[in-house]
Amino acid sequence: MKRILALVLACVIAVNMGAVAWASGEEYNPVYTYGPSGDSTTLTDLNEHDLTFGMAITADASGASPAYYVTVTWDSMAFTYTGDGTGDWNPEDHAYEGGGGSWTGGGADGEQDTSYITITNDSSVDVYVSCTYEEATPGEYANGEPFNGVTVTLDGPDKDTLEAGTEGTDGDSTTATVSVSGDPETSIEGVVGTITITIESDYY
Amino acid sequence: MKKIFAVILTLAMILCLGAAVPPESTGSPSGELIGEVPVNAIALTSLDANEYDITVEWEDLSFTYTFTSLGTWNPDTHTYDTTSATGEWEDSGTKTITITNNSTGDGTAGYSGGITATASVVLDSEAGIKYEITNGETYWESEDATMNINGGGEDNIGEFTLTITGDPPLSYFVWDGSGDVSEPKVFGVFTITLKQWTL
Repeated sequence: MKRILALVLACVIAVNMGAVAWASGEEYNPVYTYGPSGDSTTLTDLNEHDLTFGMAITADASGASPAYYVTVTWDSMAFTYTGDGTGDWNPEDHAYEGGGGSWTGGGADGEQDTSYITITNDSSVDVYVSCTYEEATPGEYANGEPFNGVTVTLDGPDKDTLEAGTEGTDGDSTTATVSVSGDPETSIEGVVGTITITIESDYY
Repeated sequence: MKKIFAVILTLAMILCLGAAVPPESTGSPSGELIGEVPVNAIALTSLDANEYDITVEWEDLSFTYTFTSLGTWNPDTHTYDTTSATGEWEDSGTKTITITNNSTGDGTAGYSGGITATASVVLDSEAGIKYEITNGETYWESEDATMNINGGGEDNIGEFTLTITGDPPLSYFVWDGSGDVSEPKVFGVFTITLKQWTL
């Protein structure tokens, strides 16, 4: 009877210890091995616990340097005005008045008065594109003279968004249009102005 | 004799049940893979002929990896070759697990209160990660670490320092393509095994 009692109680203890309800309410089951020894119920054998944890990575890629790949292409920006010789000579001013002429040098074929600047974004992030035109300053005039009678018109992006490149699509692009018009009052050659393309990003 | 014996056993049962919810316990580890371990200490206590009283404290085994480069960008296909992505581990990828052993032993069956603590790691092979463990004296590289901790008294504290190394590929994570990585990724299991040692 003594042996039976000892065995039964030892088993009960083992079950209770083996299913410990920890504070969080979850059950944790360490491994216990209890073995009665003869008539004794002294717990002498191995006590062993396994504490097991999941390990996790939180990855942050927001600070990684983006990849920039922006392509800017442009037609020739060297325009030529050719008078048609239909003007009238003014002997007092020593200049032709009236008449006409045409502009060439622009466009892909060099036969137009308009050229195009194309900006394409193949970057991994959005970029913002702007364009500005600034007339030549007196120090930049050809032969020290301004291009009187000539008008340059720039029509292009003003901080337009070019979206990041996405797989399976062409890069987002925009175009700026540069046109020259008017009749130069004198025959000169030089810089008429400067076009600046600005490309910005939210990342650095 | 039989009656006395029965009383002792009954008492032992009650004490064991009373220790089922350790008063020092503040939570539970789990055998499941979870993204974050919210509780950082647990006490294991038992009342029997050889008492053991062990407290294990740990830092969250949640590591942060910050990508400094997402790899090589292909402007033609608008995709990254993420095999060359690089980054760095927060806090050098190091976590510490402290084990305090206040157990005592009465010498029965040679038990003096000392324990053997073994740290083992199982990693997801796709994570591209290795690990090192040290107790301040010995280093283990990608293998189980084991140390003995004496019972209550002198030298009854042991520390395992776990360091994660390597660069997990960007493709290992759920990535929305714009730099945000959404969810923590469980990449392994860390196990501390505590076992009493006998003289």
